[in-house]
Amino acid sequence: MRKTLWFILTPILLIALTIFVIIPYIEEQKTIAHYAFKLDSSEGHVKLSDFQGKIPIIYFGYMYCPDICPTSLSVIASALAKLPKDKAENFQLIFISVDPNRDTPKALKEYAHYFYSYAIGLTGNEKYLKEITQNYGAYYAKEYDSNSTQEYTVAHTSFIYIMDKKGKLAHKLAHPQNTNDVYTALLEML
Amino acid sequence: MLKHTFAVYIFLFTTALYSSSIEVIDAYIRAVPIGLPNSAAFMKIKNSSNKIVYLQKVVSTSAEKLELHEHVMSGAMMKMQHIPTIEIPANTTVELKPGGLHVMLLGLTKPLVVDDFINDFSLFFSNGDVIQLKHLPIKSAMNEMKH
Repeated sequence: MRKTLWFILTPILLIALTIFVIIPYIEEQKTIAHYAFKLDSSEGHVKLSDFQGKIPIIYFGYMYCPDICPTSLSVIASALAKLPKDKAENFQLIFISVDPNRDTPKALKEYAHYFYSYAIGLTGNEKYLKEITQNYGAYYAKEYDSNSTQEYTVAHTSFIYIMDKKGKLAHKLAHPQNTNDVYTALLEML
Repeated sequence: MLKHTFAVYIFLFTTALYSSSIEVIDAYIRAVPIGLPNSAAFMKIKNSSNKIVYLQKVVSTSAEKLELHEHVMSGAMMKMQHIPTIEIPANTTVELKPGGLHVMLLGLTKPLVVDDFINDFSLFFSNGDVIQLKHLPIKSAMNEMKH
């Protein structure tokens, strides 16, 4: 009798385990892999998984950007500054330059610190950056304006990506210029 | 008495002749980390005349070149582009602000440090007005968030 019960229960348990544990785990790992990256900082390679347990805030831009990037980074820094210090420590602000020709890892470190002392600046090779940004749904393109004296500017999307502690996307904020919008999203993560 | 009245008329006439219909309010330049070549200036420009006025040119020794720029959306991307003039409609105030219209400073000739000032910054308008800003503050982008 007991044998028959096990005979019936075992496949049910295996199916339940697959549906409720194994498949969600595989899906989660796929999502984590989708947003994973390994980029260059002034101190060497940095992976998103290095920040497991922290809440990464990611912004793609470029240092020569005179307006959009400084505005966005200031909005994020102001939102973090509104949090008590022990709460703000849960977050890791990451600025990723999509202009590796001009932005060196060393310069990016100083640039990120200028806006927020605990921020880091990363970049990589062009091909890899295209791949990562596509995974995040971010886009950029060099613009050569014949009417302007600038060598080139970079048109780019302006999204703030807030990841969860495992490295999955939790919030994608479209060019928020209001500190409170970012602050509210950060609070939701705590 | 007559002489006195005449003098008052002359004064009023010349004041009207030379008083500017263009006013520049809350102008500032954004501080940038040392080593970066570019920055932007923002301000409100008030046109109290009944005619459209265009901001045509900005001159300053703080940068090698100053250009008028706007931001446009190119799909989901934000794109900055050079424009020849900025239109200030009659009896209107136009705001040059982060994410919108701005004066772009290309090739900075001195570091833009917070709480410092730029002493020469001249704006040339189509009606002949020239506004010279001799104490233009340099502000942190963080400051803008507090507004």
